[in-house]
Amino acid sequence: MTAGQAVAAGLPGAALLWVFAAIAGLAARGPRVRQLAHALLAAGSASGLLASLAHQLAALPPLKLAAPPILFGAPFVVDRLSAFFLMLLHGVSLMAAWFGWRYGEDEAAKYPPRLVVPLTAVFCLGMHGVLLSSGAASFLLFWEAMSVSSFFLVMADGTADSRKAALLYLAVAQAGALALLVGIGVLGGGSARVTLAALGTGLPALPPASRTLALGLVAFAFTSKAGLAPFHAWLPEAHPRAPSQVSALMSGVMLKIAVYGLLRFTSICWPALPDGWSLALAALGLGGAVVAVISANIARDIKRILAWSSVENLGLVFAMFGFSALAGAHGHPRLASAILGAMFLHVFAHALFKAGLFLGAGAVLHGAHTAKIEDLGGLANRMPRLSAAMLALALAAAPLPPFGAFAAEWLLVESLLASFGTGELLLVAVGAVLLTGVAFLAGMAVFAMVRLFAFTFLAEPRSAGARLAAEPPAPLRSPVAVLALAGLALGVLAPWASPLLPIPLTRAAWTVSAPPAPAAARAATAAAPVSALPLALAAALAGALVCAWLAGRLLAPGRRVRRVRTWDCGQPIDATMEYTATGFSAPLRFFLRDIVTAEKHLVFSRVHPANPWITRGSMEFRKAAGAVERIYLPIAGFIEGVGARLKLLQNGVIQFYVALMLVTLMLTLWVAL
Amino acid sequence: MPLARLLRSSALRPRLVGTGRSPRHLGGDRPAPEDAAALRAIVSGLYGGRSLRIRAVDAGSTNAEELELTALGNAYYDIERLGLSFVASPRHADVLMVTGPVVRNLAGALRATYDAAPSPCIVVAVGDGACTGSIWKGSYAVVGAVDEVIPVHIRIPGDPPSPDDIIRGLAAGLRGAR
Amino acid sequence: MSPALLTLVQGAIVVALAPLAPGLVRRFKAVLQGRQGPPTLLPYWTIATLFRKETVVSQSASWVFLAAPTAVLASSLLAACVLPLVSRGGALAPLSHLLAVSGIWMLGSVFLVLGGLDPGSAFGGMGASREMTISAFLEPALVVSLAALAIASGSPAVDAMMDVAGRGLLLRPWLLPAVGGLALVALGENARYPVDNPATHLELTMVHEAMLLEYSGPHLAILELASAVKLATFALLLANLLVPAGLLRAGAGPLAAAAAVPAAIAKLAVTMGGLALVESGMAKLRLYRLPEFFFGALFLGLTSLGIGLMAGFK
Repeated sequence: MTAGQAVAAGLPGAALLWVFAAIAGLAARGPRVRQLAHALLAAGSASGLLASLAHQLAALPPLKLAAPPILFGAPFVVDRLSAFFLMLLHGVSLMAAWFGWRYGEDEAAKYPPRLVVPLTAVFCLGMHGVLLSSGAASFLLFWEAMSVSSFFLVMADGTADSRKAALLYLAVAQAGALALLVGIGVLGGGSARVTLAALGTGLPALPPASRTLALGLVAFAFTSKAGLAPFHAWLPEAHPRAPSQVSALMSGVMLKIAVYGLLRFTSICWPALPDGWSLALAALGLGGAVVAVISANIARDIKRILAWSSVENLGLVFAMFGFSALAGAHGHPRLASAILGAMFLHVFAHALFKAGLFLGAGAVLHGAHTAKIEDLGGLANRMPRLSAAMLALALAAAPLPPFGAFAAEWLLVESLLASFGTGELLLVAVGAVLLTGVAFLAGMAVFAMVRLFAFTFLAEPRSAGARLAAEPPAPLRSPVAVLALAGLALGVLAPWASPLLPIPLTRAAWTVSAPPAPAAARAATAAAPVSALPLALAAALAGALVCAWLAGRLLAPGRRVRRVRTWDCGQPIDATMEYTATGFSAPLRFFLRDIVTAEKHLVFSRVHPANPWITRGSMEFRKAAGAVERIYLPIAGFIEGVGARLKLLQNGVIQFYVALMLVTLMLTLWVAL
Repeated sequence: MPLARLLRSSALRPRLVGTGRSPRHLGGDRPAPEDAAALRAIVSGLYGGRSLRIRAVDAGSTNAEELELTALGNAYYDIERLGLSFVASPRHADVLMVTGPVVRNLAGALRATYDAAPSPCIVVAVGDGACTGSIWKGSYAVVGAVDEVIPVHIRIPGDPPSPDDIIRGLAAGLRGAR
Repeated sequence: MSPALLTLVQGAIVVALAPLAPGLVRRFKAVLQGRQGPPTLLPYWTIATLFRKETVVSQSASWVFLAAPTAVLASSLLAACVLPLVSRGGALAPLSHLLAVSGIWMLGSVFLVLGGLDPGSAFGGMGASREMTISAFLEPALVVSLAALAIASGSPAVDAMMDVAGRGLLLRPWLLPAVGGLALVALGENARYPVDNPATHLELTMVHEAMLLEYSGPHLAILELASAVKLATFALLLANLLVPAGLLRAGAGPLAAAAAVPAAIAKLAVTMGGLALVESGMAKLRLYRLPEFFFGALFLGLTSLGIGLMAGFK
């Protein structure tokens, strides 16, 4: 079978298997059939994963798969860009299905499996369809399938909080879908049969206002789905609510589908993005990432921390995209493609580690029955294997060597340094801001991930649930470990990841003024190809670890280890006296109080008017207004206000309605004549 | 500082063990033979005590001994020149300096400190209270001398012993062990 | 000498000399205080003594606590091998990429923090929280300062930055703020004044030391060695940026290698003397005022970039 045949069979096969999975899940009354449904889900994912890998590794040209007549005739097409995202989707959904096999059964009381299994299949199918659609109508259809199924998945546990979060999510998702519909309508001239590729052709004919409107609407649709600030407020509410394997799909893949949409539309419609839009994307991405990473350090629920971290990472992705577009528009295509390559590597790495972390959070939730970080602790002794995998994933998310996200950051920083060599003030200024921002984000992300891991897994358990937790069963543990290993492999083998990515990884040309240095001295560093460095770094780290371990072994032979209780100054301590996650990030909250703060008001009043020394103090403390209060609620208030005005029309008086009809008729006649 | 003195004081061997002068007051307070054997084993295992880190444990003293221990760190006595230093955790300690007659409420804490310190660990009873129980001996509130709770290797009597006494006592004990 | 051997020799020399660094700075500080102070070579004996002791581990601690010292030492060792400290152009020199170096150091900090949190002691938690804050906030300053040097030298590897060290700094004075920023980062990363007080015995004022309170015996020895290596690494790096003399090159003979040791000792002595002056001349900052320190360091790096841009990075 050639690679082309594999792709042509594997991708429709995956969709078909998922349809069967949805049917089996709907029909299932017992665990047997449900397991069949999970097996079908996994089989579909495996088939799709193999097909997309075959497409990428064989470097196939864009392939037409099928042209179903019901979707207005536009065929399904797979190319390098969509195959990359298909690979992420199928890889993560394979792990999610493996995890859900056991998790779905054990948590059946909380998340009704007859709802979750078929909806998960529809959700995956929706993302699959979005990636393959070449027609605008099917793109929109599958986009909606993805949004609506994930909306129901968010409220799968049926609690009031989940419903609220899901409704917020639905509102944003539908606003985005509406914007997309209108945007495509404007671009495509209102035709339902238009293909995506044709959207760009009519663009020059549009008046500038319509063009900007369409650009704005499409950008809003994709960035709101991907959680770019300030449209991110739904994300940390909605993602943690879904069952963990669905959270993994949402954070690991669905956000990337939005990135895919943005890339697809910009590559078709605006190959040269105007500077203003690039700068806005970069600024919003970086600013949102900064706020998100600080929020990740304040959040107190594991899955919420992870959701904030997703906002941060996607913000970084948008910042990279914006900077790449800027560099491209200013005539530095090598720089642009280098940054774009780093962005794809980051997207890849984020899908792996975020899916792994969400699945791991699910395993923790499964064992300890709580995701509140202040109620956890002590799990490293109780779940040593899971904790090892989670430590690796946390380091990968940090981003630290030798994991994938670090390799992406590495490439990005090289490109940013190269941007200083362009000598263009705009590029250098944005590059300097991004460099500082990326380093700041890296530091804060390390803080957040250390906090997440340490307060979940270390010290003494702070609740009965955590105390009684045990190592999760292998089906819950193994997908986490596999994703951790995949993240490690991506980090180590990053230079050779190009065949999997939509564009090859390159190193930006570096033409900064060379110092008058002896050539021999420079050869030592310049000769080694930069691309091999991640592997070398990983090997060197491993070597250093072995050396350090051997040093400890040789210098302290026959090491005696005695276990006693933690040093307590003679006064027994217990878990309630431990440092808490809130306390851990207290210095950070204090240092960054100007960015994200709680509002604290201290009021002192004299007890006796003549005595200035004796005062009565009171303190007021509340969470500062976030995006919800500042942006979402005013919009909601505006819409409600308009609705209230419009309600005046609907006053139930029949004569008024007749009068309205008469006025409408007269107006129509006046316009028509 | 003259170079010769600098070099000498940088030498590998701290001055503590090799002072050569005999302590003034401590003729009768040499460690008991069985303690001496234990101490000898410890000190020879720790490179002759070139670097010893001290954790001070208050087991109910009047604070007089603490004042003297604090004085050890000042520029006059400067025990750091002897390779000794005070540390913040018994986990780091090679020497526990226990002061005070062990009162009942602190006996557990003293025991816990001893358990918390990695062996081998030298225990020094500083002051009359720690050595014998002193005037509190037999009181209902007091367990008694330190050696009724944990093994003691060196005893430095005095109420309180002066910093000089403490240094000499330590020197004598360690030298006796060598 | 082949590049691989060069790296090994540098690693060996730095590790062998590392305990000298804290010994020297304690000694100099004591002299400045009018004391005789501890023997300069005391840290060697301390580490040796600790290796002979028992390991006491908290009952609450997990495998992370046991693994942390090895990881911290590995981080320090790797940084000591890749950076241009005693030699240049070693086999691992390309790994001295500025991001790799900051990642390596950050890994060490992360494991130190995890080890501090694992026993569940409030002291450890407090130290860990502060250490993590310091490391996280110093990251941008480190990256930006090194980036300025990288742009000047045309390579992201710290090894190549030696091209613009010494006289190169005088030719490009816009790099001086970046070196200053790096010095501030060095003070913070090594838990020295004005960020931390390395001599304190009061748990509430500790940063670095508080995380080590639960470690004993060989574990503690490894951690003390690791922090000594890190101090020596930063000291030699800064010294080399100012005076890049006496660095071994590939092809150097054993005689040159022997001469590199006194050169390194001299550099250590001078930097540690400077550190002792800094530590004796100023008070520790309140924790709440540390942002001024962090942003000061970052600002120095950005100043370099800004002036460099105006100078055309020449």
